[in-house]
Amino acid sequence: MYTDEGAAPGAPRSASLTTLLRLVEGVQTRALGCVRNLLPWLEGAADLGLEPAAQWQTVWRGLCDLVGRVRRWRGWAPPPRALADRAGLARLTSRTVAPQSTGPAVVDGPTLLAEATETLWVLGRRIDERLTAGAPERMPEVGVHPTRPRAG
Amino acid sequence: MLAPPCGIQAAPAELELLAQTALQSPVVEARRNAVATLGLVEKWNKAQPEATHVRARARRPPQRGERPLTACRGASLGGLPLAQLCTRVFLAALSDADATVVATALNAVFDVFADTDKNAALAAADGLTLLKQAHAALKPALPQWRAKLARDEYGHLSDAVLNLKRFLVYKAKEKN
Repeated sequence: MYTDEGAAPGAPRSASLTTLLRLVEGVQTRALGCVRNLLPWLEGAADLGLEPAAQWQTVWRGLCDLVGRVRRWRGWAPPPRALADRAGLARLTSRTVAPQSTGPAVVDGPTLLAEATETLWVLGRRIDERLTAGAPERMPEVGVHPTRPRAG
Repeated sequence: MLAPPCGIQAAPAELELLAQTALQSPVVEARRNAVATLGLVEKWNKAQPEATHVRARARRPPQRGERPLTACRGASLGGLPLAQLCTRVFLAALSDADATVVATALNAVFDVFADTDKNAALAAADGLTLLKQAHAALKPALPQWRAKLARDEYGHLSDAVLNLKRFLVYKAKEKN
């Protein structure tokens, strides 16, 4: 589960897009956690008057690409070359597995897919919060459930 | 390309991937997250209607190893404008086996179709019928889901079911 704890202060100010993409391309859930922890930092850049749009875009692209790659490797719709893809996944996991004493053991397709899509969603929510931050708040009508759909 | 004010440009292939994830992935969390993300993208799209005509897939043949989009469960998604693609995904997700995915799809429907000017689009997709069916299926199943889901997930689901009933009443009033 994502938390803000320690994210913004701990994130390096000098984090470059290359580093960010490398994290996304690392295809490890730990790396995805790092990407998620960088989201508040990107938001902080907006507060400082910097335009983080390119960085949002980079993260979005990287995550979408990751979801696509997971799908191809451990796809829910196996392509004709499924066996070859599985072999590719085996090679990939053996390449990206961290030393046993320190890292997550094996790249797990379903977990990775869930993590990647969750990070996408967290990114989307942060963007949405930015977009709606300046909008006037619409008060719910009296006696109406707070989350009910509202007209207009 | 979809370019909402935030600067994100969602490429057609990315939207297509999200739609397929929402409808076809065996991972519940991935389906739920994809539906929720598409809900946000469509919300931004509403805020910038001049960018609405996003095609889910350019007119190109499927690439090697890629399934034709017509194989998507319940809907053909190829070549749809973004609004229609999202509508298809949200309504198809109403029949998802997992109630938390259904709840997420319902909230996306509420966000996208709350406005009066969306009534025609909802009717065109036979949305009200599908929503009524979803309500009929979900309401009696709530006690079972209460036992299965975490407290916050169940709260999310029961809120969505409550709101669905009100949404249907609201849309029925608007129709008359």
